[in-house]
Amino acid sequence: MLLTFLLLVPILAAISVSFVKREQKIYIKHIMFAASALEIFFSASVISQTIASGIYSSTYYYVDSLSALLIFIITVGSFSAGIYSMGYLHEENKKDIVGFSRIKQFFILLNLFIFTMFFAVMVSNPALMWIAIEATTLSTAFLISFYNKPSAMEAAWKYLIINSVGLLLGFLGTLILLAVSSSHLEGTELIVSWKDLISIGAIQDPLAIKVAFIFIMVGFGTKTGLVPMHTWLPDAHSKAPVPLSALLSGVLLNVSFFAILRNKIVVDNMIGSDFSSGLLVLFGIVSIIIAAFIILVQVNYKRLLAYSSIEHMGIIALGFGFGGMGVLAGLLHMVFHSLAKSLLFLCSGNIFLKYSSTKISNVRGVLSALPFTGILFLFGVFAITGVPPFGLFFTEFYILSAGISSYPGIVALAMAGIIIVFVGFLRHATSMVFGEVPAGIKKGEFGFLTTAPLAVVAVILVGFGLFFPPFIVRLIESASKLFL
Amino acid sequence: MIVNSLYFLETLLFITVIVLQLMNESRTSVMIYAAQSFIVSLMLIIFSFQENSSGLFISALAMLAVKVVIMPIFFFKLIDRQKLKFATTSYLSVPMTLIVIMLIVVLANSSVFRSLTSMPTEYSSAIPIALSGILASLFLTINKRGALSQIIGILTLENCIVSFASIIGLKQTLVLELGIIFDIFVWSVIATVFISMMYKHFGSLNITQITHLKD
Amino acid sequence: MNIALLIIQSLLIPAFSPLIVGVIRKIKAKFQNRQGASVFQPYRDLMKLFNKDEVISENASWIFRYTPYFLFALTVAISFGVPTISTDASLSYLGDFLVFVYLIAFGAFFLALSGLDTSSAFGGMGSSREMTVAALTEGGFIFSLFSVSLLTGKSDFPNMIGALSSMPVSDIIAPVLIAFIAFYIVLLAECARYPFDNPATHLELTMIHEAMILEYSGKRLALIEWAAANKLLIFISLAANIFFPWQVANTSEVVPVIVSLLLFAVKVFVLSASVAVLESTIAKLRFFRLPDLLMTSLVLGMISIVLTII
Repeated sequence: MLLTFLLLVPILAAISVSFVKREQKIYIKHIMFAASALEIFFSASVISQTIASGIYSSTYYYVDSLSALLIFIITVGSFSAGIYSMGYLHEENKKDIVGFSRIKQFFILLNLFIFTMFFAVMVSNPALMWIAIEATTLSTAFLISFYNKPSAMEAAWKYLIINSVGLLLGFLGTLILLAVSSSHLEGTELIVSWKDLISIGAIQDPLAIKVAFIFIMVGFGTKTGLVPMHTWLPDAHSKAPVPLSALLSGVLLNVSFFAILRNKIVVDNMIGSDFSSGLLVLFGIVSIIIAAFIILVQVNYKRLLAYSSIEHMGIIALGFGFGGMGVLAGLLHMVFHSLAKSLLFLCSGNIFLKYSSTKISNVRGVLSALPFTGILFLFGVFAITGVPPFGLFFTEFYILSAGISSYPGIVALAMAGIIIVFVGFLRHATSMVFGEVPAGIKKGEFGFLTTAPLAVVAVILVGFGLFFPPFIVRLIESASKLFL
Repeated sequence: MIVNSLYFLETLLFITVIVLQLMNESRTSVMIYAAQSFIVSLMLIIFSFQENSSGLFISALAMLAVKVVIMPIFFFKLIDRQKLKFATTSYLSVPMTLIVIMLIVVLANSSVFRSLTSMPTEYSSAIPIALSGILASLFLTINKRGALSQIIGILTLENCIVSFASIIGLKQTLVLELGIIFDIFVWSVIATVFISMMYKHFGSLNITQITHLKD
Repeated sequence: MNIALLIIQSLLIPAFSPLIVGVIRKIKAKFQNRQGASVFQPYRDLMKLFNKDEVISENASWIFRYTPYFLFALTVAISFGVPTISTDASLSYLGDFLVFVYLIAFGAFFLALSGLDTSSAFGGMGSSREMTVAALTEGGFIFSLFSVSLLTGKSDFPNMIGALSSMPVSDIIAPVLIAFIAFYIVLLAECARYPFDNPATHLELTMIHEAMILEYSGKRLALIEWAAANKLLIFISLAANIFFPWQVANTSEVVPVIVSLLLFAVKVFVLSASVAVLESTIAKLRFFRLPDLLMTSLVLGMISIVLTII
């Protein structure tokens, strides 16, 4: 019941925004605030219920601690991005970059997008989950081409086509998995649920499942941004408006990785974990290395953040591939990366509003022009590159140490990649943050709505790094038990 | 009898994919896509009689309505509005395209996919053809230049995957099928809006000329 | 083997081939919204030509003089190997598919030479075009028949038909269907139909087959026209019987033979109608686009072979 309410909130928000008229644009703010508050309330209830009573499984929903973790990530991300987008679009409206009807479209599509993400992590059937993830592609396509510039449209088209092809391949893999499993299930449930799939033990026909998992990995891996299916990611994430980029990088990549993880749980029960772990390690290390080298030579800070997302998805994949401690660390890494990446993108939004350019060379002296944003940006950079005492340092450390006994060479390569990213990122960040402000740039922050979300996310990020709240600990422990 | 007709329809599906590769005119491609969707809905109708499932029958009718009637009309309007007549050529020349298609058929029948093609279902003799159809439509999406052909390539891929799913013995449910059809419909709507926008801005749908993102 | 049935079956083709040509022309005429000549008009045309006088160039050699007889004899000989009604009553050594392919090639060779023989420019042009098309068609021709041969393990038409009709349908549908499409393209190419050649054109620059026979007149022309019609009916009967081999009789008893004859008539009519519809709806391809179509036929044949082998 709670779940249905959680799903209804974004839909109702979308519908109500569509009724707002131009003169009453203040109502959009009211609706968004109310929606965010309700979402936080409902997801908190869902999470606490899951911790208390374990897996919830009905005909349409299947919520376990992995889903609850993702619900947490989605809620925090959509809250911060939603509130921030109000301030951001307000500023852009003042500069006459966007008009009212565009803003309305933005919020409608944003809420639909949030709805589809919640639906994907809660639904009980693999094919319905696929439909939800396909729906995320559809709802974000127009948002990416929001500014109607040629480069934005090309980025959105590339996003649409590559993701649709990838998701169709993932669909093929899902179907093969369902077909092979249905011969092992008794009973004629109308909708095969994850619960039934997980209950299938070892099977005698591993080869078909392996082929299915390869398709799933390639398909959903396209949406997650694993190399070599990542080509849409830098363009889409850099040309989209900033709050959407924060959601795409921080939350959507995790949701599609969640899809891979769900399938991994099922497949590991059937054929053992060696095959899927091998694949995850392979894709992970390739993503880390390629992203690391491209980060060194970036000239555009939004693209820089996008490539950093690719690298972190690679690290998470590596963690799940290594197994054991790596699974725990991978789950925690998902949380921390989402927080840090949202923070970074939101800060870069403020930077873009101030400097009107996305090139790193045009941005100097953020610390003087936007002091609050500058400090948080620096925090975010340290966090994302894995500097202690931020949580990402610990998670990366645990992931690497989980794999050092079985894959020493790969761990060495991964460390090299992480160090290269650290060097490159810091070089770009320091050239942006320190130095003289260029002439013509006024100093000062923009307003409450563009700074408060940053503060909230930063507090959560630093707070979680220093001491883990118990509910996160419980969630992650029970989620890691799902994996072999 | 059922098996034969299914096998026949599946082969026809594969042949439409090959024909789409070689077709250059947009209107004909859309008509071939409509014919292809018709073949797939026929297959689903036959399956629904086989399994005595009314849900499947309804979803086959829905597929008929959406994919054979509504979407082609959409595309025709788009073509007429933007005057896209001979909008599609391919990257590889015709002989090379045909050789790649043949290699695809060899691959689908080879030991790489042996695990799939020897699945113990009733219609297992049609699996290699369905698999070749899937791979060939992937190739179709990559090979063609125009943006409209990419859309048709993706829709063809979806058709082939649906037919593959029904052949390997998946018990389709109504909810699933309707969800998929709705999904595809919304996808095409979005894609056609995109094409209109792109045509307005770029002046052509030849995607090799759209290189604004190269810096 | 019933000798009477053998002779009847084989003479069926020369007897009815002008009728098929007439039917195709009639259907085309109906598409063009006119009445068209009667379906028996080709017979009257042949009679007229047989009664006319001939004019032969002084530069023509024996090739020019003897090719029409040779061509016509070839088609009659081939029809002894083509099982139109009963596989029991046709000669398997004349019906071997490789023998068939190369007998056809033989005829094309001589026809091309006779086009060159009178030193007319149009004849030479037609011959060179015909040789190009024939060379490219050979691949699809052999492969489409080869795949059926691989499927059944036999190499001559009567045995192929018999073996194919007894195999379970679900195993053979895919290769046979694809091979049929390849063979259909070859049919259009070899019999000089759309989209390769326009059989009713008067413009020499658009001709392929007609250009080679421009210099012929009188009874030689009649024989060549009749041989071309025979070739069309041979190809059509092969397409009908090899790729849809059910109910072709394999004995010489009356009832199966009558059933087979009726079914054969229906199949031939459907195929001729399809050729006519194709001619009325699509445009002739430009010459340099023909290799693409023939390449398609080749690859379809190869695909069919791959499907057979697996």
